[in-house]
Amino acid sequence: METVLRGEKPSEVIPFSLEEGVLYVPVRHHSPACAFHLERIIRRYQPDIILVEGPENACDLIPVLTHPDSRTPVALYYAFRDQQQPESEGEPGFYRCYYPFVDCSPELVALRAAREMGIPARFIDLSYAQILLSTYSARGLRSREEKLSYASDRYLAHSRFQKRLCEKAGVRHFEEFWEKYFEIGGMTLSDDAFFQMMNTYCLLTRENTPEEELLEDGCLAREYHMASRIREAAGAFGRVLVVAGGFHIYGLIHPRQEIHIPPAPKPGLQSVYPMRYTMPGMDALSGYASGMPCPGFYDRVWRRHTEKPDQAPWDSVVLDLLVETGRSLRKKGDTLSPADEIAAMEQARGLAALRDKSSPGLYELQDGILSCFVKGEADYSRSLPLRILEELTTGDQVGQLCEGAPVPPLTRDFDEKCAAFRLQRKAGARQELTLSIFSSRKHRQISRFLHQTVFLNLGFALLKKGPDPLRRTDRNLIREIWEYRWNPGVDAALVERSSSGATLEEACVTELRQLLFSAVCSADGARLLVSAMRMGLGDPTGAMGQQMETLLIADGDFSSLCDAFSALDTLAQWHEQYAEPDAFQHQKLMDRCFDRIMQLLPSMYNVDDRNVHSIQDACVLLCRVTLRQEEEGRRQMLLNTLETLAEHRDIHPALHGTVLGLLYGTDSRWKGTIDAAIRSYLQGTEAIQRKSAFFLQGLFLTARDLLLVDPTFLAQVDSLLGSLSEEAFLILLPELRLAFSYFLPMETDRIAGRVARMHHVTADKLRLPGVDPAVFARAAALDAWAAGQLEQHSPEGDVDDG
Amino acid sequence: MQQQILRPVAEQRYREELEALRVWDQFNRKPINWQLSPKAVRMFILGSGKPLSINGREITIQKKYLGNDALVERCIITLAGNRGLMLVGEPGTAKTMLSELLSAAISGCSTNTVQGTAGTTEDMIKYSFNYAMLLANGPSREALVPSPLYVGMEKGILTRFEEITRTPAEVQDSLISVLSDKVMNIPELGDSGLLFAKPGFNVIGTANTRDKGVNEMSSALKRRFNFETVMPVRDVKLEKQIILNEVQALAHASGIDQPLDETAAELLATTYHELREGVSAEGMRLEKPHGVMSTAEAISVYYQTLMGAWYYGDGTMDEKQLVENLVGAVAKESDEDLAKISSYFSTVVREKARREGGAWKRYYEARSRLK
Repeated sequence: METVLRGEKPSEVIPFSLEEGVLYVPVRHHSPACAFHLERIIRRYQPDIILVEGPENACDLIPVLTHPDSRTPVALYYAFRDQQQPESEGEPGFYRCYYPFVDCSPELVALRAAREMGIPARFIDLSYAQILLSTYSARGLRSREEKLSYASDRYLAHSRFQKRLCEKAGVRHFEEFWEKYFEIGGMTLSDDAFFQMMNTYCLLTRENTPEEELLEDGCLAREYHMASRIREAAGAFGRVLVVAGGFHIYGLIHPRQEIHIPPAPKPGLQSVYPMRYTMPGMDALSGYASGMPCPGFYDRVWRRHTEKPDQAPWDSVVLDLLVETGRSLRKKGDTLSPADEIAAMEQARGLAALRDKSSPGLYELQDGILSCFVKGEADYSRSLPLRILEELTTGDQVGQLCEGAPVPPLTRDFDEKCAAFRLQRKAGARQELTLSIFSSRKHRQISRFLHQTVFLNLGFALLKKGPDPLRRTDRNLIREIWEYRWNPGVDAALVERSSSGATLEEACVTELRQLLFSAVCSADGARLLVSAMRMGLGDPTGAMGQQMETLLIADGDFSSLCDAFSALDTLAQWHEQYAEPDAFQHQKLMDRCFDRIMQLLPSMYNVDDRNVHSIQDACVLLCRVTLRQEEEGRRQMLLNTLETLAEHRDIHPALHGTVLGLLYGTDSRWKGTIDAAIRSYLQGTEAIQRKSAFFLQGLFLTARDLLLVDPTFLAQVDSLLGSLSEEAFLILLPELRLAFSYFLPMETDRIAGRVARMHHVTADKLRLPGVDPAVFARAAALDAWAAGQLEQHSPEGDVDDG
Repeated sequence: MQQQILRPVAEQRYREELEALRVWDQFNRKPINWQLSPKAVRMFILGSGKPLSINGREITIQKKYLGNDALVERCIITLAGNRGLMLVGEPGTAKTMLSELLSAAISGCSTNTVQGTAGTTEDMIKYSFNYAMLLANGPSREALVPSPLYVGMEKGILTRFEEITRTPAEVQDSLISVLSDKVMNIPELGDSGLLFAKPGFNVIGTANTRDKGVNEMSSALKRRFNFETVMPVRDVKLEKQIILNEVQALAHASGIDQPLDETAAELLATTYHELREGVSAEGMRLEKPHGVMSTAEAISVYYQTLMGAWYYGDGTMDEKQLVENLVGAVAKESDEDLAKISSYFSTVVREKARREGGAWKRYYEARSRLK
């Protein structure tokens, strides 16, 4: 293409003339300047039809977008399920994207103008599915972004060419460049000059984009298709006005031939819905350079322009935002004065003059606030004035759709269920609901429905109280207490989730399966199965159970396997109450999980101090689960493994204590081994002695009754502790305190009383009177003095780094 | 020609550029008493890109401040307004250099400076008297010894106040009324004791925020300044370029005629950058040293190594000397910092040595000097 351009003026390559039968108008998404000139050009050109770049499967929705009752921001939501691509390939099998509109979106301005003039308007791009099918894997709209925008400016804003351009123009980045030359500068130009400048810029950008990239992104296929639609319209209508991203104009006039266009997919695989959108949502999409950043700021510019078309809007919008930021700061207790606001406005205007801009824009506004409102060192992420400004320039408007706008099946399903369960669909106030989930079938169904809304993150309901089988809390409760409230976010979330399924169950199954397939450890997977049980999803195909088994086989993390075992045990114990017959073949999964744990447990002997508590907890959990009658087989296997573990010479003392305590719990003959172990710890070398406190801590975790029921054991521990030197005892003290913290206060009292009797001391002597405040004050002063002295004389005292 | 001054001031160093800019600038609008227009000041600090053609000569205005261009623009506009400019930030981020360049370009004089210390008193900021003359003739303008602030107001030029947070808070506050009313009251001079500031007067302060021994500024004083935070350079390539530029200037001033070793600058820039950020380019987390890891420190390490090579060796720098000097620069605060550098070498540098070899390998091999 370079050869085409060399030596030719951009205006010759892309003519811009109102005399032509087809007028190509280049725009940038959400640009007020483009909208401003486009509005005037439409009036001057008087077209017979307006064609707009946008997936054509949304043509039927144009009346909804342009309806006087619809308020921006609104968006078109596209979804497509690619059946040729199985989930196992790693990439998601279905795609979704948004095409948002605000009042200053040139596309919307064009559609509204067509409605006003009573002429037809159409989207002319390939359908969303066809765009995806002509895009290479992991490119363009197929890349793995959380939220994708149809209206991407990637070509316009992100190339080396732009980087050089910004350096040359002395601006920080492309957005500032754009604002300076196209928004602020552009509004003072004539329509023709403005669009010619757009064409020149876009042509240069295009020249700097490799053609392979365009092909891989599906760009050439789209342009080919749009060009053919334009030809069709030109044949049928006299004057055709085409509104398209500036980057594509060249491709529309000079489409590449021999491009394969994939056929449209079967109906039902792709869907499109209008949805109300929010300004923060728009701003989040700008992360992928989809239209301009700070939509709130440019929306104000556009509104100011429509209110007073003969005045440049910039200066007054900047002033408004400065004053609003100041007011907001004062409300939050800042002592910002009007003098600061005056200084900030002067700063913004001065910077605009220095930067050769006719009025200050967004970047001068930000600079003015940074200079004059931020006192002291600026931390760009935490400075309150900048944060407030960011909120204001993002905006907080929520859009609205006219009555009768089509809704996706998922929303319909939600509405129907709300009606069936008599849940208040549009109530603004919070509603409370008490459900007897184990006794009433209907209540269980409502509970499942509410759990599904929670799982899909609809922001509709909140479980206030009820049994939590997973966390093993409140398991004595037989009712669930829910709070729910409908809000506009619920609708938006429903539309977003509509690509996952036509009913809530279907959407939950789809998303749960995806999560299960992307889970990294078995614990996550097992927790998902428990949620599935509460949602009443079941596993008719057995695919989830199978995937869970794969996760268990692949997981090598002991703690994760133990957590998974606990969650599977929950399934086993609760599935009947939740009326889930054979939940995910849990018995088979538990066997698999238990085997894996038994393989790993013997190697856990040398766990470090940091992780020992989690292994201790895991051992306790395993014992608790296998204690039940029906788990006899597993219990024996576990005890054998624990025995092997206890016999290991280098076992961590805390784990040693825990394991011996557990073994003692099943067979009191282990008492002898415990006695021997405690003796060997307390009478060992100094280093071993130090470990005895760990041992006791582990032991008391699982068998603290030893000390309460067995007087000889108490005497033994007492005499062993008594034989320690004072120094050795002081070293052990912190861990010993932890060890004794497992006892209830009453139990500690009982133990102390017995020990006192052993030493012929009456129990009342153990109780000390409260400390005299004067004595306490003296001791505290002494303590502070000693700490000061230590700090002063310590060679390795902490250096204050001020 | 034997150089007479160790470090010439900015207006002398860049005399030629300033003169060229004055000619280029003659039709641009200037604030009263400014030597150059805001656009020319911007160009003086950020460079002209293309050379300026002045009286048949081509003069390129060098880029003197690398980093944040928008910050420089904000500084210039602040100085044209009625608030002072306060440059804050970590030590070694070129705040003083920026303040000097701004004064040289705007007022043609960067020496009208109060050098703030813990011992600075109010009369050093406002005025004092020549006591012999005071006793002989009584209070008069002749007996008055003006401070830089006084001079700035009298002539309508910028006054620089270096390290303002090192001076006691009550002394800092003597600036408050001068900055808001633009008038200084000298009761000793009776009826003629009012000094009104001429247009062009303003104050550029610099303040360290993370250093030891600094005093907090009062809110009243803060309100009279626009604050600009100068951040450390976040781009390794840029930091390397700054090191090379600055060392080149220092070497030139000392008559060291030795081409600079770019690799060594890259080693240093990377080391300082990664330790300052606490994460290596490969994503390894590092312990940050307590001491200041500023670009200024990196420059001094490089320059020291260069001098060692020039006077003791054959002029070529080697990694061993670099490491030795690095120790001297880093281990100021505590031995802990040295341990952190050591662990940096045994992890990050080792990995880079393994992967890239060459200078990184020699750098890693020189780790035995880390003592």
